[in-house]
Amino acid sequence: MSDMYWRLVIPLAIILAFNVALFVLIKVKIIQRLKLTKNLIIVLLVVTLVPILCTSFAAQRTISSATYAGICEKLMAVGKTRSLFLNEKLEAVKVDAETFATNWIAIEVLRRISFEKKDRSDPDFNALFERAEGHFNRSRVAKGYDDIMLVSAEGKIMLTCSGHKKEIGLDISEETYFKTGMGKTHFTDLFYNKFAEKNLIYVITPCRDLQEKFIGCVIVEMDMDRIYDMLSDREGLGESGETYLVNKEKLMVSESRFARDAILKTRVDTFGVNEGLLGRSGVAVYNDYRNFPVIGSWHPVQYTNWMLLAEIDQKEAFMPLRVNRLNQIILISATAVMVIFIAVFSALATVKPVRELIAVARHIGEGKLDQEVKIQCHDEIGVLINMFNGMVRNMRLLAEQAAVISRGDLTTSVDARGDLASAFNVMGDSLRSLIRQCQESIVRIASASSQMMSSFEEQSSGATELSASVSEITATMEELSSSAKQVAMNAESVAKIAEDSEVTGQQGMESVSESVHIMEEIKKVTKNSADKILSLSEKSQKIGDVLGIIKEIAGETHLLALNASIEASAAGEFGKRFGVVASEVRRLAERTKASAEEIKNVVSEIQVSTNESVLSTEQSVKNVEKGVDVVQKVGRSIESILNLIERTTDASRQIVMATQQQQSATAQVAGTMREISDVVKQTALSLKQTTATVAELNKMADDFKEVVRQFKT
Amino acid sequence: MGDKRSHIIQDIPEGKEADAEIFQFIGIRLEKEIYGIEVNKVKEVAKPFQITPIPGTPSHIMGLMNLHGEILCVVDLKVLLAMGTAGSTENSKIIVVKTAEGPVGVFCDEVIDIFDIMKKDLEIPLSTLSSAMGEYIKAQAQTRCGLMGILDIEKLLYKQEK
Repeated sequence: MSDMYWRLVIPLAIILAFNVALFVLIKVKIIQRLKLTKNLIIVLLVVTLVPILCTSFAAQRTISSATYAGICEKLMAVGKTRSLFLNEKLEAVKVDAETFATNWIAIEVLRRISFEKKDRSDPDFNALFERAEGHFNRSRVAKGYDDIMLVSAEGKIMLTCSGHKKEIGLDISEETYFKTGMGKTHFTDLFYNKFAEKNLIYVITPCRDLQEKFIGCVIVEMDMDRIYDMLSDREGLGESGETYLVNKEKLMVSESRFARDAILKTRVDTFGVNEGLLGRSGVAVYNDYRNFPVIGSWHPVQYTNWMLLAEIDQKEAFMPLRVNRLNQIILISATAVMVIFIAVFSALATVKPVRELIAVARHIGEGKLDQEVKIQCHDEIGVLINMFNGMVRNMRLLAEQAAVISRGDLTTSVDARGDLASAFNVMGDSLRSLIRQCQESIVRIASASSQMMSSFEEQSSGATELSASVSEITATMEELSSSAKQVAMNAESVAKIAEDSEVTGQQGMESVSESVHIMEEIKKVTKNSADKILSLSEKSQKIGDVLGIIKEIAGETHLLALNASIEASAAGEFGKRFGVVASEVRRLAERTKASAEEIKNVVSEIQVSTNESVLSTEQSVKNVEKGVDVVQKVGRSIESILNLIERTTDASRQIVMATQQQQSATAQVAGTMREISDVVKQTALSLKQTTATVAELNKMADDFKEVVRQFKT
Repeated sequence: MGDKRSHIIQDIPEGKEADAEIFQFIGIRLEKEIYGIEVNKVKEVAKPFQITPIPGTPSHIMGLMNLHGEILCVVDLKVLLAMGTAGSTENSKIIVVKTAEGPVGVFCDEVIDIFDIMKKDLEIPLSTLSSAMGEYIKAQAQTRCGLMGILDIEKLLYKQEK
């Protein structure tokens, strides 16, 4: 099904897709953008080559699968045949070995050796032995075996036929093949026998007497020469095909075509060997022991654990396929070349008259009307060329008429058909009437221009006067501007001075506020001292009180002393001493009184003076307040001075600004006056030019009159 | 005037020793004049205290005063000496004089001192003193405070009582 898909559906789909694409390209006019030659080549290539390519692709696939199937079949057949042969051969060896083991002479010899322990010193046994030797030697030669040996039940080789006397007596009871061979017939793998000095396989089979007792073994030694002959037959395997054997250790058992001396040395670890070791036969593509890609089949061989491999190089197997592909490529290339040739040729045939037509049309487009297309065709392009030539002829007639008109001859007319020709004739008529009108107009222009000239000259003189007066105004404006600058400068210096005064006034203001502060301070201190003086007065009052008490006490003391004196006097002589004391006390009291009086006087003086000081302090407080008032008044007047200064500054600034504005305005006026002056000058200049131009115009009108007169109407 | 001096000297022993004998006088002040009263005739000096006037008595009797629980009659000396009436001041004192009829309070403006005066220093009072007063001045003496007239206090008091 998949094969069908590949062979039919996909090629058809590709062809369809290409044709649809081509159709679409033609339909949407993409292909027409190319030149005609390329266009034709693309279409023809697509139409011819795409189907051919698809067909050959499909054919290639079919052939390839058929070839592969054939090779596989062949390899399977060869492998199977050879493995069958090998199996038969091994079967025959097995049968021979078993036959030798059931031969009466072998049984007899082994029985006597094993049970009766005879040896060749016994004449009877020796005779039997020699007979056995003769028998087996004959059988060996007849069957083509390498050797036949008898082994006792203890595992000692007792008899050989090939004359390897050294082997006799060799104990093989420990060998694996002997142990296996005690039970049933056993094939050893291929190994190197040092006595025979070549690669051999042993077939060992047990020997039993009539009572089915084990009495020894028979060993048949076989070389591989005949098998190798069979394997090296290369019939049906081509140049690189071969068959070989591999044992279960994956070592090569037979010779290979590509590897000399490979037996038991070359290791073959390939896909085929691994599959064969699983006991199956089959065929596949894989890399062989040389790592070449091959197609190989594998077949297990009975009794031994060998497998037979039949392989052929993939390269050789698929050779016909490559040849076929090469043929196809050559054919397709040739076809493509031919298609391109045909396309180019046919495109050129179509394109040549068109190119000629294009060349002539380009000439005509450049204004050269002296050429015609000379190619003769009978298709649509031919008709087009004829029409084109007629058109060119018509144009040539019109060109001649135009030349006549250009010479100033308006008397002729063209006798061709068509809108262009009639338009030409109408144009001639119009030109005639136009020329006549021109002649009349020129006369009028001449008179008008001479009038213009005279008026322009008048204007020119007026402009010169205007220019002079403008220059005067400009000079005046500039003077005004410079004086305004002076005023501005003066006003600026006034503003500067006013600013300085403001600073000074502010400093004065600060001093005033400081003085007020200090005055307040003085006031506070004075009040404080007044308070202190008052308290002093109070205290002196208290002193006075205390003095009163002292005085009273002194009075009392005096009284007491008086009374004491009186008592003393009354006491007569006895009271004299006491009288002295009393008089002293009295004196003391008196002095105390006097002192108190004195202190009282002092205190009252203090009181008087404190009262005076209180009064004077109050007076000074009042004075300080007055001083504060005065200072504040000074502050206010400084403030008003500051205000005045500020106003002065503002006013001077405004003056500066105004004068600056005035200055800029004056400058603008001056600039404008200068521009006006320029304009006036330019006007005068241009008036002169205009006058000249008008004069020229006058002359031109005369010239024109002369020219127009040349036309024949 | 000599009899007057001898009147005083009656009580005083004669002789040189008698000249050196010292007499003690309490000097009191009335207005601006100083008068002396013999100390041995004075009981004590007291401060005026609630002098209760007694209606219907002569003008020189100021009134009665309680002194240490005894009723004392106080006499205005200024009235007696025709020096106007006594005005109580802070220095005013009452001299309690021992008389035959008991103690009598004498009101004075101030007690100055007790003066010790020797006998030889006692002088006959000047005749310039008013005759009315002259009979009550026994003698006069110079003190440190000025001239002091020594009063014959009993005579003065008795005269009034007569």
